Amino acid sequence: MVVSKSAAASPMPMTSVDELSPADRVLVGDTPQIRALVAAAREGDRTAFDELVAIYHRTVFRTAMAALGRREDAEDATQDAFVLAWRKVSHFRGDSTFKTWILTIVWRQALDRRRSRSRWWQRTSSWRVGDSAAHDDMDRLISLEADPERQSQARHRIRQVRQAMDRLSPKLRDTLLLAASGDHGYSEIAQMLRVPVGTVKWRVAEARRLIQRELS
Amino acid sequence: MIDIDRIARHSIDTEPSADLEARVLARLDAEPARGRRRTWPVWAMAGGVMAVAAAGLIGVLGSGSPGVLGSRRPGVLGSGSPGVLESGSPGVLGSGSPGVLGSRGVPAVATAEAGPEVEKTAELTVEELAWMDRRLPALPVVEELWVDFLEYESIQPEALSIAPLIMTALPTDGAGMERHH
Repeated sequence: MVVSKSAAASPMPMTSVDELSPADRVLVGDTPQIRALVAAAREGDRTAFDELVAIYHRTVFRTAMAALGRREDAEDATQDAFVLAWRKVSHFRGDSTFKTWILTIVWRQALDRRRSRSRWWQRTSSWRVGDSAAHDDMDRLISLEADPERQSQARHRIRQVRQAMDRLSPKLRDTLLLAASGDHGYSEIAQMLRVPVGTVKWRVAEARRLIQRELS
Repeated sequence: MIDIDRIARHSIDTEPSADLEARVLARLDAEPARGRRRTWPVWAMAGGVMAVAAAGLIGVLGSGSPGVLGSRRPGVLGSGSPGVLESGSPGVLGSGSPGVLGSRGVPAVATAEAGPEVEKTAELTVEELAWMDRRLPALPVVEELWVDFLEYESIQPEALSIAPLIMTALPTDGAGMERHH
């Protein structure tokens, strides 16, 4: 997909999104390129909105993962969020970046989905240690340690940390996961959670402190 | 040592399914086509209807048809005399006369029709003109109503006087009583 499809909506020069690496795409922010896409999408340009989907769907998905913890649910929330965003994009006023706006939408969608799930805690606990994706990540982390003995220690340590994270309150755990994801700054998290930035910082610090206390 | 943030990050650092983007686009395709909402045609139509309705209302009020307030025709409320609902002057309920329901100083709806009304008056018959020029005697001046201050005597009832109750002693020896078997 090439952003220049929407060039008619803006006189600004366009570059291909395909030229960006996945890591760079989430760092684009509301550049003139994004603003042009958003402006075109506001006028009903589906092609422009498809470009925005291509740029942000990974970030949106990971944000949903922070709230839901299960790939299937996170993907459903991602789809719902983009559909809702398409319906509402004509009302997007640009008070925040488009990224923050879409992430706020998916966060609300994810929280609604999480609330509607019965016995969410039990499911979450089982996911934290049982989800295949989580196991893959754990193996990836452990493989960083060359020594078998250190690998065993790392495995034990990871399990301890995840269990401690499971015991955090949802507010602390959500904030910690969002901050640790690397996709969002504190101010962006604050807008998504609708709390002051200071609250975000306190929650992250408190979550780390509680986990450290359990580990010690 | 693996720190907390790295573990937290790896908990959610999962790539979505390869077809997620395609599924999102498929969901969007299923959405009805949406352009920028253009609600002005609706508002324009509503405004036009309201304008026509307002013009019709003005026409009815100022048309001089019988039975309508503000009529220029005899036999209705308008009379041209002071002290009554008057017509022949701008205003829905009539104005220009002292002490009437009027709209002095208030822009009246039918003001624009004052000119044509003059022409209509010129077309009236002599009888009609005479009827319109008739003068009814002014209503007598009514002074303001006053209510005298009410004065009343005290309503405090007089003190009650109760005569002492005197009872004669009852005999207790059984005299005057008969035993029945």
